[in-house]
Amino acid sequence: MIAAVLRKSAWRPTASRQALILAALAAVTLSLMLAELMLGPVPIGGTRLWAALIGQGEPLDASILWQIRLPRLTLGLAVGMALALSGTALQGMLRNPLADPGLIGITAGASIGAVSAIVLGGLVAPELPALAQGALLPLAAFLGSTIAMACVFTLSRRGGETSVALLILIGIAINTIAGALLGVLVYVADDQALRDLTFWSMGGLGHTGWPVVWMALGITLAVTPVFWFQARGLDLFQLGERQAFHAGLDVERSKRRLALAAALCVGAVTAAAGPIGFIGLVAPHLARLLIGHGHRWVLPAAALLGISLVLAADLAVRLTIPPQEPPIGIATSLIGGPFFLWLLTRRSRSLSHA
Amino acid sequence: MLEAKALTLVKGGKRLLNDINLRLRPGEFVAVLGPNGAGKSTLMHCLSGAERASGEVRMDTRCPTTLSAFELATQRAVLEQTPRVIAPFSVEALVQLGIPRELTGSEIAMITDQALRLLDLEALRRRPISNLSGGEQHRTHMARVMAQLWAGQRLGGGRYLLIDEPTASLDLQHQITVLKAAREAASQGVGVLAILHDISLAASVAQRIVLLKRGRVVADGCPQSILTGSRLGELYGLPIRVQEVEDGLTVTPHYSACWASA
Repeated sequence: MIAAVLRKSAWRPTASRQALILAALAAVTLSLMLAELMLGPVPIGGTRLWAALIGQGEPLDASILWQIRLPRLTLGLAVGMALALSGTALQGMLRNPLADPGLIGITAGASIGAVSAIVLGGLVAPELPALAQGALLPLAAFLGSTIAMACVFTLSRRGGETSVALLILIGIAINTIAGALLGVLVYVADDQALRDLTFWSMGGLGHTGWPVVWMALGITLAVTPVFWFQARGLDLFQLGERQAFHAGLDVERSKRRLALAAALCVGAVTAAAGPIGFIGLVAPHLARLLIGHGHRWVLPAAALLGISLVLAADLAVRLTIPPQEPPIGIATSLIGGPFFLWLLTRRSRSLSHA
Repeated sequence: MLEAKALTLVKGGKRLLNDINLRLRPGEFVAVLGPNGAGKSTLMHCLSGAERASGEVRMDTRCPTTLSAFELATQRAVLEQTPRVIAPFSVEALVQLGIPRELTGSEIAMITDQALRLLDLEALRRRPISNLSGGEQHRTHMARVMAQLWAGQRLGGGRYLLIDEPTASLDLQHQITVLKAAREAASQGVGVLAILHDISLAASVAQRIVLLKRGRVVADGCPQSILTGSRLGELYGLPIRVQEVEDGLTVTPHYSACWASA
């Protein structure tokens, strides 16, 4: 008994242990980033990679790097970070371990916006200046994700608290409505739009050029401090909304900020990479398993894990049958789906024990 | 002074609070008693600024609902009825949730130690809250609230302590531990308002008792003068016996009469 207690206390994450875990995660992320640049149909070794990066390499290497692999890597960073941070924030503020941008319908909202831009954008785009044309897709996706977020939050409020079971049901409803709207848009789309739409909706890091990629990374980096400054707020949310308020948290303002930040970056990365599921669910859970429950540690750990998962999934789909490229969504769902089921059974078991 | 004037709250067609007037002075320990559904917790939420009602609430000179959550948290600390936390924080981490980051690291550590010691939690400080018994969890939340109160005092506030059933699910020894903490705060000039169910305990710990029934104050005064058998019998709908003992009052239902009428 005492031995068990001692063992438990030895395993309790302490600050130095947590810093060590973060460092290890950072090392994993860095090696995956390198692998993302070096591996592919044309392997590029360390010295050639360095030469190409500083502009002294062979033209083929340089064009592969600058045209294909670096945008992929950059987008992978943005997608992993945005989905993981949003997932952490949603799970934290809703006190629901199943809250994930995909499951509660935020990604679906962004998809509707993006697909509308792809299908109907042809009608308005020629009238717009060049800069606005580039921004049309992310803006539409952001609009969609914000509307979905607003729906989710308004509808799931009961007596001042956000109801947890209702939230998941609303997510199902929003996903269904989004599915129907997508069907309508596919039906009216012309051939070119249909091609674009098909590629986009499979999800992937390789379908877009630098401008959209920069936009995704820029927006994600811009909203990251919002999540970071709400770390203590997210801890307080674990007490429930009323107690969090009693402990000094402006609950409504915190929720607004976190929801808006999540909608912004999920919209931006969904516009660029298409819908990619389960990263927002898996990364925060793994982070909490590894590093404990204080959001000061969970947030950076989840961001690193999100990036690692996205890059690993991308490498997996690229390297299985080169030069073919199955959609990345297949890999994330293959990992995420069973994980989701495991989470459900674990939860129901702990509930029946309680 | 924390003061409510003509406080009325109607929600969903139900009158939860009805023209309540109440004063909580600095250094005073007031216990609120009444049957279930009398509006005790609702009254506390109005005083704490979590609930808006018609009438007037004044915390010193200002209305609580006009203060920011942070300003309120420095002025008063609140223990909710059946406090819960979802994440399995350690006892220490949970206590520190009550302390704002405006304090320095050493102040935070000092307040944490003090709160853990006061509520007899030192041996449990590294244990995850999910592994503790209900009573131990309850004490941890009380420690968090005391830590918030002391942190508030360092930031120029910490004037009121509002606690809703602080002794629920605690053994006798720890009921006293928790109420001792609250009394100590009162002796240092904090206005304490506690919702209690044990009338004898309330009579021994509080200087003033407020009896609440269906959203109305039915009596407000010192325990000896207002705790009479007939008044309590009417309040709870039971025959109740009030006995004077050498150091206070013992209030119990008149058991044999209760069973006989049932």
